[in-house]
Order: sequence, then structure tokens, then C-alpha cells
Amino acid sequence: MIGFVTTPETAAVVLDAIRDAQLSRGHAHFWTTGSKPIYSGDHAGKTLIPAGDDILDTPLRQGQTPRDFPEFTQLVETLGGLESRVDIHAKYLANTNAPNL
Amino acid sequence: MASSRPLSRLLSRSLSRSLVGGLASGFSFSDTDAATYAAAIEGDGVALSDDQKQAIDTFYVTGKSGGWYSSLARVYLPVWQQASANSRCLVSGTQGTFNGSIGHNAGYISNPSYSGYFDTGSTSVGKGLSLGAQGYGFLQVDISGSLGTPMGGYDDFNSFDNGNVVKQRVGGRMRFYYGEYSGSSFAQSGAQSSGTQRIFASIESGGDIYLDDRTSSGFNNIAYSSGVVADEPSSYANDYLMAVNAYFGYDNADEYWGGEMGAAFFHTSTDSGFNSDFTLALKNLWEGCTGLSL
Repeated sequence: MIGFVTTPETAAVVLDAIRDAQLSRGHAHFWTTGSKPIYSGDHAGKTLIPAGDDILDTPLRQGQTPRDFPEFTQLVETLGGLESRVDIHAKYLANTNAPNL
Repeated sequence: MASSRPLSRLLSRSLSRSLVGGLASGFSFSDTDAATYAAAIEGDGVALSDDQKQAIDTFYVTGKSGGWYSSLARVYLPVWQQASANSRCLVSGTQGTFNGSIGHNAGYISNPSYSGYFDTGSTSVGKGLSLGAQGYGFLQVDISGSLGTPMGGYDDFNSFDNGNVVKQRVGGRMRFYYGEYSGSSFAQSGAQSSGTQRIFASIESGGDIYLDDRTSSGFNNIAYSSGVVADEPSSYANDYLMAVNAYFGYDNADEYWGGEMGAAFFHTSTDSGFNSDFTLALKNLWEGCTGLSL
């Protein structure tokens, strides 16, 4: 999965900013990138903010995508720009402590 | 000149009436809740045709005259090719939150990367569901290529595996759990092949689970489990679509479902006739809004 690797604290700030960008425009919090804990591998303990092109091109409303929001562009820059995204294999995102029901 | 004035006034009035009539000839809703929902998604940028407005209006009018509308806790119709309109509930006025990669297609949402989901923003208890008066289901446009969970949430932190979850199992079988997820409190469909379209509707009443479906050929009772549910739904785990919320003291998306979903719903009915009446109205709504056929 393609995205930004960051700390859990920074990820929380980013997700709050994405939410606030919608609420400040009078909308509900209807979309987010979400975030995923990285459980194993070189980045274990960090958090992945998914940011593949499919996510960045999500149709939100009124023909806009996340790329059309200045706040989102600013967040991407804060995380190092699109070129700093990495591809994390799904196996590193699997919570092996979760019960297998 | 004098004789031409009445004619010009007449032409002017006629033209004015024509223009006003043209502007005022738009669709007129019979139901105010239908008008509210339509206005909301138009505000999102969805251009509704009169046929689509009629389908929406008919759904509300039919539900209220049929007596089942008041039992609807949540109804989602993610057919509008964008996140905001797709996140809106038709009956509660609430909006959930799409997380990550979800495909917003004409007539359904999809999850090709098995990594996105939709958080309804509330638990089953929060929606008003309770033991003996609850149900849920979804409109399946296609099954997933792998195992996964179309909808649900369970609590593995405060009470053992408590929650309502439908899980796609081997052979495309859909297993609808109530109460103790992973126990025997479920009803299950038969095998399904790729491309199967249907509305699954389950209801729990008196500890019994009834699982029905509606297809292009009609309504069917497909499974029944007697006296298997003894636990309340979860008051901790928000219900998700396209994945399950495996709540461990914090929300946790898991078992992503890669199928295609055209609608989802939760209800509080205790009426055994609910599934038949509601799924017919939902079929007509989905077909009327998408131009597709179930």
C-alpha cells in the first residue's frame, strides 16, 4: 500500500486536519485517508497514511478531489511531498495479535 | 398602433407564462423527507433527473404508507459516484465517513484494493437496534473475489465478540451473525457465483434469525435459525461497510470485502413482513436511481 510513513502523533494531526477542512466548510466529516498501524518490518511502530493515486483522486463532492483542497496539498508537503511516499507490503500492516474469527 | 398593444401584451403574457411554466415544471416531491434527501445530494453536486427524483419520492411515500419507514435506522444508497452523497443516510440525516481507497462507481461502491471501508459513525445499539428488534442487510452487485466482511462490527474488548456481522465465506456463502460473533448465532445463504446480484435482508426476532433475499425473480426465504441469539448487539463497535470493525478498545478495520455494494441498511422492525416489503421498495429505488436492473 502506497502512502506516507510517519509517527502515530503526526498521523493523528493529519487526520484531524483533513476532518477540520470539511467541517470548516460546513460539511460533515464524510471522507478521510484513514491511517494504518505498521506492525512489523523496518517501519514497525510507525503509522502509514494511505495516499495512493486512487485515494488522491477520490471524487468527494462538486467534482472535487482531495488534490483540489489547499489544506490537503499543504499536508502532503508537510509529509515530505508526493515523492516521499513509500510502498508498504500488506503483511507489515497485519495485526497478528488480532483473533482469527 | 393602438390595436397592436393588446396583441403584444397577450404575446408578452403568453411568453411569460411559458417561461415561468418552464421553470416551474420541475419535479414536485410528495414527501418532504424525500425532498430533503434529494436537495442534500444535489447540493453535493449530483444532477438528479426527474425519473431519479420520482424513484426517491416513491421510496419514502411507499415506506410511510406501508408502515415500515419508521423502522428504518439507517439506509445508505452509494450509487452517486462521489463520497459525500454516498455517505448520506436516507432516513437519519447523518453522514458516515469513507476511509481510504473505495471505488465510487455508477450504481455501487467497490473495494478493489481490499483496504478501504465506510464507518457509519455509530454502533448498532446507537442506531436503536436491540435484541429481538433488529435487522440488517445490503444490496449485493457482486461478491468478493476473496473472503471478507461486507458489513458489521463486533466488540472483542468489553464483551466477547459481541456484534452483528455478515461474513462472506467459502463458496460466496453469506453468514449473518447476531449477538455473539464467531458462535453459532447465525443464518447462512447457499453458495454464490461471481456476478450474483441480490438484496440480502436479515431480521432477528425472539432469538430467531430469518435470512431472506430479493432477486430479479422475486422474494425468497433462504435460511432460518431458531433460538440462536441471546446477546445484545454491540454498543462499542461502530458498524462498518466493506470491512468489519473488530473493536479492541479502539476501532480496527479488518477483513476487507472486495465485492460491490449498491445499498446497505439497518432496521428495528419486529415484523416478519418487513423484509419483503422493504426489499421491494429498495429494489425499485436502486433501479430507479441507477437505471440498472437487479
